[in-house]
Amino acid sequence: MLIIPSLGIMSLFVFYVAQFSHQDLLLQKEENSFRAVQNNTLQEWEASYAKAEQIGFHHPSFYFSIFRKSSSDTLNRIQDQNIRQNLKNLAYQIGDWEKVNRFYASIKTTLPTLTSEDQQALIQDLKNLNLTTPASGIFIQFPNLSTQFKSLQTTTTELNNFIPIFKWNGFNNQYHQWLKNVLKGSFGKSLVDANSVNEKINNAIYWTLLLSIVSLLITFSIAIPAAFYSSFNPNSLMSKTMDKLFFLFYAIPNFWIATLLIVFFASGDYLDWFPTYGLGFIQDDYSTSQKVWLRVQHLTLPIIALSYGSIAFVYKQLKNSIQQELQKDYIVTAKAKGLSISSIKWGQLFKNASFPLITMLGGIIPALFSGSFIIEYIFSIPGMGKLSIESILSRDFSTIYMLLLIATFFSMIGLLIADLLYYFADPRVQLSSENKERK
Amino acid sequence: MKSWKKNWAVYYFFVWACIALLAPILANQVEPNEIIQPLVPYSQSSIDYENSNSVSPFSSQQIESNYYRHWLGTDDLGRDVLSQLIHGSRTAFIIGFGVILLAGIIGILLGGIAGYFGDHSLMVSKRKLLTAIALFPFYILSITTIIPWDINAVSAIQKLILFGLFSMAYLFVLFLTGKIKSQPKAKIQLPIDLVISRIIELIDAIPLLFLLVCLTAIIEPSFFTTILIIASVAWTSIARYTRGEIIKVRNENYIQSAKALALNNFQILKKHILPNALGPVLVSLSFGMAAAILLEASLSFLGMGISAEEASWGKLIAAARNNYQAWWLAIFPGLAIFITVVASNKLSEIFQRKI
Repeated sequence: MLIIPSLGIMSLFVFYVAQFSHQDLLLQKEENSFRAVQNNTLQEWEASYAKAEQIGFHHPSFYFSIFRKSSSDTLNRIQDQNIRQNLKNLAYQIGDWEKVNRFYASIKTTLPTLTSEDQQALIQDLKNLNLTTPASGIFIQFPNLSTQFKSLQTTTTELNNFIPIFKWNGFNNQYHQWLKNVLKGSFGKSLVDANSVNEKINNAIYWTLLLSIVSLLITFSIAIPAAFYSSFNPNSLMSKTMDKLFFLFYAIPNFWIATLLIVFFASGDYLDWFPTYGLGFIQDDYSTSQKVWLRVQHLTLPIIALSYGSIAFVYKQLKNSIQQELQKDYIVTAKAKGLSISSIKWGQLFKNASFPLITMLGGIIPALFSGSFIIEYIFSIPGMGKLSIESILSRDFSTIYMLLLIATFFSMIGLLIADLLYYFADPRVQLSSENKERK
Repeated sequence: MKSWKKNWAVYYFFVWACIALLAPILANQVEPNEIIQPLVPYSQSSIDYENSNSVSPFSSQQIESNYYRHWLGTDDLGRDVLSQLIHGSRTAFIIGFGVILLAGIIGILLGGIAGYFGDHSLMVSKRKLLTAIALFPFYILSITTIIPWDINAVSAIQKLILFGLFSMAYLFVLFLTGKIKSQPKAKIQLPIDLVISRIIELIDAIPLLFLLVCLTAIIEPSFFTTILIIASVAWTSIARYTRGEIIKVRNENYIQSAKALALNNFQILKKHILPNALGPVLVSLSFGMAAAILLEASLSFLGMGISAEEASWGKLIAAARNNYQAWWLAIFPGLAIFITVVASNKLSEIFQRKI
């Protein structure tokens, strides 16, 4: 029952991460716009404020805020990053946010009375404002601005930097709003391309599930017979080569194998057996068998790259555990009773030796849904792994939230299912954690 | 002692360490009047314009003499692959050992505390605990707000002094409250094992690479931050392993008798538990190093590793993705990673045998 607090902490973590950079993505929320935010004219400036208000970014970010007396918790309402940083520094240097804010306010009231070139110059001045230099640029033309600036320069209340202020913001904050939406089941729109996050994840999860389930089946259908064969014939040449081979497999990094597979089997420079990446394009007149063949062609290499490591892992674990079980008394008893080898193998041995498989299954369930970052990235498969990388690189936080929550949720579920399976495999296992450590 | 000499991994690590330490001497841009000539006359970023566009190691190269030959070919900009491999080994060495040092300290400390004390033996006086809990928000507050990390007006030394003052004030208040005569039997058990185990589970619940990529997206990657980021997730496996080992050792009879002899916790830990639990912990450390090197290579491969000027094995393999003819870009760095990982797994066998 760790799920709820974990998800809570996770959501806090992601939210905190998002606070670092999502304000500057504000304009990206508009349909399909990647353009950089440059608030150089009054219209753009006001537009960005209006948008912030519309989305709710002008609310405080959390239930409470802690800040210095010299500073303010309302800084996040200033949308331009340079201006925000500059005003923050000013406030720290003189230790009085009120004065800086008044100065900023009188600039805002002055702006509409100017010509558009002067507006741009003033905004530019604000971005490069520096206390140590005397007032220069467009400031001098306005007596009230330059006197205010001079009084800023002479203020020294730096001690305010050392006084912390704690403020309760109530429920009208960004985190609360976001959480409310998530609990309702609407995960919002992607910050990058305005598609809904639910739709994006629905599209991606299909390919990831397909890939992981096929690779899981291949892993088990190769590794389990191999482990049984080599633990019953430990001295045969076959099992010795398998031992060596799987030991090597276990240490080979998968991105290397994937790259080598592409270079040697898909690039066309050495062997041209497979397409290099993607899923292929299905034309309208393709028959079903043609469609399947196309997908098989495209997915063979990724599945090989996904499976070889886990085959080695399952083989190693299962073999260790079978060898331990073989020395136990009940196997001797079963043999003495005259049971056939195969009924001992599959009836008694497998059940007892399958503990490492259960542990692995607990780890696999989250991986089924979150996909392999590297393999999907290398082979350009539009699954969850690639979606994660893309949304992290483009700082699409509403998608990252969801992906992280899904990953956390399923790893908790995986742990739970593994515990239950342990119980079914061996009823002596107690479900409370009390006796685990006494082992 | 025999096993040390028989194991090739020990020699490999020695050679690796030498190459990593001497990388700037082994592979560097040749200066005409230098006395010591580098073995490879190219640095990791020096560009050979005559041999750009991925020249194969076997094809003819535009060079003055064999000394300038690119023995392992070049990448698409004309940078020498061998030189990048040598400098990449330096990167892997620093990251690998840095992570192990940091993650080892955190993991062994937390895992050891969780394993040794369990849920029932760490007793704290109620009053002290309550004060600590009550003061803790103020302590965090003082670190984050009173000490102005991001204000340039206050120098680094002043910040450190302030930090020290606040820590001392915090500890002093705790000390004072412990001195107050409290009710008898006012001690309570601190379920330290539960807390640490839950933290480990929480971190393990997130896919490792997801967390790493998230962190690298917000923190500017350098050697130090990469080590910090990888260590912040790598410590959990070491902690879990240490915890398990110490729980095994804790219930042995000689520990019970040491307790009966009224040795204090520190003495028991130092003299009895650590020497006996060290072998398995070293095993987990050497596995941890292999994992750290792999993680660094994966991050660099995805283009999120250390900064662009530094060479890395993962980056070389990533370069092979843009140029499928250039098998030498993929084979050699991959072999380097592979051998290093096998060597650290092999090294763990020594520690396993010593138990």
